[in-house]
Amino acid sequence: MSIIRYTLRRALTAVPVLLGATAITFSFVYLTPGDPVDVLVGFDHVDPETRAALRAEYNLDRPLWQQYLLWLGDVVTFEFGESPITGRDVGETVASRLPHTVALGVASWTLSLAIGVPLGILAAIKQGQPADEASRIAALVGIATPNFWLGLVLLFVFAVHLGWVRVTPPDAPLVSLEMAWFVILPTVTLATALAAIVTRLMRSSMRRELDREYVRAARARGLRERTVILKHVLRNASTAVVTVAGLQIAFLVDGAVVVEHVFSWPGMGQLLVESIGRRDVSVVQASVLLIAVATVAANLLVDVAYAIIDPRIRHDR
Amino acid sequence: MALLEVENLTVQFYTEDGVVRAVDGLSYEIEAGETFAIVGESGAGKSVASLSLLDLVGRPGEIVDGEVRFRGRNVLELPREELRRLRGNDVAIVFQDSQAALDPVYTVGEQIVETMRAHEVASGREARERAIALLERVGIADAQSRYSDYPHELSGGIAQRVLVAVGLSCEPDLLILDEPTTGLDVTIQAQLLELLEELASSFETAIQLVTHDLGVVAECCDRVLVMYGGRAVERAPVEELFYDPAHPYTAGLLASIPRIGADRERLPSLPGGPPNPIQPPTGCRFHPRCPYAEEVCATSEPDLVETETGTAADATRQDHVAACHEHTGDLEDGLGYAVRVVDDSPDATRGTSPGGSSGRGHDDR
Amino acid sequence: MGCRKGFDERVGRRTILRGLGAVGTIGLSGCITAERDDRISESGPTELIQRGFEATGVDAPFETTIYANAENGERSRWAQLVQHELNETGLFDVDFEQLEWGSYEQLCLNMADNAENALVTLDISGGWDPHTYVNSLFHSDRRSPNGFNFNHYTDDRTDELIDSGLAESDPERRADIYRELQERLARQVPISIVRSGEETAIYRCDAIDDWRQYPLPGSEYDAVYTPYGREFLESEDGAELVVDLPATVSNPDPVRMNDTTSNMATTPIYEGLLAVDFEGAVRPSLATDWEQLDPTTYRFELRGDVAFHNGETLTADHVRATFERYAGTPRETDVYDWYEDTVVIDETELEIHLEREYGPFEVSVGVPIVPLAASEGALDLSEEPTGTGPYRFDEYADGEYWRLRRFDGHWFDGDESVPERPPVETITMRIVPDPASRRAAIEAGELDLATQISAADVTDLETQSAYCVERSAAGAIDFLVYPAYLEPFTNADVRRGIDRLIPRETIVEDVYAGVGAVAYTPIPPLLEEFAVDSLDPDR
Repeated sequence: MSIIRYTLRRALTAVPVLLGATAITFSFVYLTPGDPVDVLVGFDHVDPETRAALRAEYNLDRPLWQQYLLWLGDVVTFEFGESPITGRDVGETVASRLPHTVALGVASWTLSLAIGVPLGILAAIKQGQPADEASRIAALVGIATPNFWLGLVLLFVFAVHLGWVRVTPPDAPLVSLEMAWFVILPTVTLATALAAIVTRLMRSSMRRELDREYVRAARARGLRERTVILKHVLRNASTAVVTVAGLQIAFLVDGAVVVEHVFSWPGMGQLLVESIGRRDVSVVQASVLLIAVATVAANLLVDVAYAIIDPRIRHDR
Repeated sequence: MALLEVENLTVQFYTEDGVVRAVDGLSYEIEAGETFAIVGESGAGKSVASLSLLDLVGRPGEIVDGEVRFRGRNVLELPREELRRLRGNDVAIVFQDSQAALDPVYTVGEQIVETMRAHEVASGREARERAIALLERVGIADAQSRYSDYPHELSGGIAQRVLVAVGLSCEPDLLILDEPTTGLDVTIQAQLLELLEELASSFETAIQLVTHDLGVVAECCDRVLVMYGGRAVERAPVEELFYDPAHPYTAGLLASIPRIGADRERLPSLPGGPPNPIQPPTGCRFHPRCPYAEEVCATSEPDLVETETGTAADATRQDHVAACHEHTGDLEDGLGYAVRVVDDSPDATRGTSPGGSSGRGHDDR
Repeated sequence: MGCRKGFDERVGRRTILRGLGAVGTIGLSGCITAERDDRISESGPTELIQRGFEATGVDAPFETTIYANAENGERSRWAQLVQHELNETGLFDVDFEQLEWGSYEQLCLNMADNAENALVTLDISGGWDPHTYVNSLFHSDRRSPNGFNFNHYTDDRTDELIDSGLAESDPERRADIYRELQERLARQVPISIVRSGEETAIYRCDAIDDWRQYPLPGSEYDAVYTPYGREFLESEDGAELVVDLPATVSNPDPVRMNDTTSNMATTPIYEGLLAVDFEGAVRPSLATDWEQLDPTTYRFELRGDVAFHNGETLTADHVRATFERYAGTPRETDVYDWYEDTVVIDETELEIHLEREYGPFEVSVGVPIVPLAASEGALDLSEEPTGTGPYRFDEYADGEYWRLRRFDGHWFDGDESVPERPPVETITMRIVPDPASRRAAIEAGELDLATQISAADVTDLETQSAYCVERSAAGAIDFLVYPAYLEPFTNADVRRGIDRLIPRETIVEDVYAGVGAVAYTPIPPLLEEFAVDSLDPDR
């Protein structure tokens, strides 16, 4: 089966997943006590008529399933409506945060792979040697270091004491040298734990593959060691890392909350937390939909990457 | 100077339970164009010995002593790059598990071409054409389309042939075949052996055939080395080994081959199992299983000697040597087995080049 | 997350109260609770609790849990101090538990409905009127989730006092009412007040000459330039001031605003008829003069030549439209708690009729006057907040910053204390949600001023010469809520006993590093006329 047909087929299965994810969050948001109108009025004593009118204005008086269908109908036409809390367009609100999340996410994702993959390979081929031990300790420290702590330490060392970078984002376009310079610290903060995970995973799958017969056979064929490791072992070992790296794409959309908070970075994570606090269901839903889409897309990418890496997979299905 | 000289090769494995001497002081030679067999039960150290020829014993194993000289140069002391040039180009190995020995994520063709490229034998379109020709040569029908198959799409027999094609891709002087017929059905085994013989002669390639199957040896080998517990117990030209086995272990192996064994006084198949590799038996390693063992066998380790003269064996000579106290006269009762070859057995001579002189049935001792 | 999580019981903006003196005279003499009850005055706290246990038939030790939200380290620490004191008596076996704010909020709002065996620790901030502190916490109409009467305390006399305090417009009679109310609450102890808070600002002494801190959260940045408050920030003309916002601006439209941050971001944009200055005194703002004609009628004289940022000129119609715009909106009660209608007499004169006599009228009437375009729906204040203030809205980068620019058409002509136009031309409010990052940003020079820095950081930075700290007593109180619906907490002796065990001094000195003051009564000392610093033991 061609990669394209395979991809299309996998993409179609994403639709029920998206429906399920949004329906579940929809009901969860409503299961939490305190509805948006309570927040709107600041838990104040309000004329019941006014309260009822406000509820009606945002369809909160309808049964849950109707609300969901109404929402779904709007979403299909890319109409996210206006937030009852902020009065701003939900689509625009989310769209204004998305680039920041993507920028930070892509940067830290790339960095974590750029660090984790070579380090994992190194550790695997230097098994038991000082380089392996060093990478093991580094990974342990990386995994164990809490994000907010690391972020604050970096902030105080590099921004406050050394003055190399800013504490808060500069007044500059997202794609600019100043912004790129600023984003280094949050990127490092976010990438550390992920790089550590990737390193360990890379190491263990490399180790597993290195014991396979085809590796010995490849060496016996007189291939250069670099070819054996980078062409044969790495490709076979990469499926596990691809899975984790793929899942991290989704994690980076909402998992960066702490880093965004420390670095005053206006990303999706902060938006989601704020919106949940305000019971701003419209924004929460749009964010969740986006995260669900990102997750599904990431999974799809993982599957396709699998199929490209390992021919057995595309032949099996 | 022989093509390959192995001298006192000793390989140890460091396991959790202790040190295992997988190969213990092994010496032999292979001449150019010769087909040489190493026979033994699994765990006898024959595969490890083969891997040692290309310094491919990985951790936890280690070659602790000995030399492997190819065309006079010690393979074990070659600089990395020269060792790499030797591997696959001068000496190639066809591994036992053909599916596992092929990288599952690259096509058959890619792996052949890659090998040729690594040794600058051919590249680009030429490499591709040569690879397809090779696939045809090893008897794969529809080589053109097989070229872009992935290993998991191949049957066991085809995969084995592909592996042979990979091995031959740089026209090596020595091809090591590690249990090439294991897991294949009898017909395909036969086809493969025929093919190997034919290829060996046309490529003028020496072959080291590693097997536990004496039947295979009889069909295509010039000389045979029998290993037991990491040591050589007998080495002889193939017909001498078959007609005049000088070690009870060899005799036991022969007896377990239905086609060749004598129909009277047949030895029961070898009792017991391979020796404990961590704490091998004292004296002769085979003595706990040997029906002719005497006191001396448990206390003194027999040397490899010429069966005729009882003098110490010399690796360079094509003689019949064995490691049994019998040949130094230390055994009081001697070995009580006999070999009878049935003249009219078609199997006994089928397709073997060295074993042509059948009918020399005689009783040994 | 935000270190300051609490309930923000907002009053109408620019609330007014007469005759409030200087802030900062904090401090209460001695323990004022329970002393006047002869029957118990000689007893220690443990005897009180034991008596309560006997009365309710509860055996010691009684198991319960004290909660705090994980985001607020200081609150968690004082909750643990209380836990320790209670366990020391041997009468209680108290667990301590931290929850995330969302779950914590739910626990608190529903504790009575779910009969939770829980002591919860919270704080609220109120306005310039005492009603804002007592109503939501103690009135039986405001039982949570319709207010912050978390343990559903119900006492008819308390309700009566709260209602009559609201309906009384004579200041002296009001003071008596609130005094009686607080004495009653001190006897019944439905909740224990622990501490009154402070508003603090930290600024770089090189960037800001002298900062005046507004006592109530939300109006901090009025200090940049307030004709009514006779304050302004000196700087070279055209300067940019960079300050912080602790969260994103949720909604800058006054009828939809539901958080302090939006208030902070918009105070320099909007103006009301009256305003309360830094000392709590009522000042004219868009009104030049006003008088109470009868208990439910006020007449206002408007300033002439007041321009809105969108070009409109202020008239009496704007005032009426502004008030009526509140009908049916989330912030309806800001106005419709007292508003009946407005009679426009001419362009600059109007009468406001109240539906009832209303004590806090002058602190409530100062809602932001907005353009007619907004009342008619042509202008969306959520997108483009527009008023008559000295600064106009410039731009908002969601989650990044909120920027105001000097409004050159502002009506003020200058006087001896405040110049004609603000020297600061641009106010950039940078959104820095993390308190530690706010500190870092001010140290790195990216903020000229930061609010809501943790108490420990305040005392730390105070010692460094580069930073100046401005502190002022605030309208915020920390308190402990008892599950008064559950035995043995149904018994007032038990609550009184616990109240006397609370280590208030330690909490203020150690947990809050001396920021804030020990408190026993709900109306903070900021509201000098209503706060009680000693209660008559003979009553």
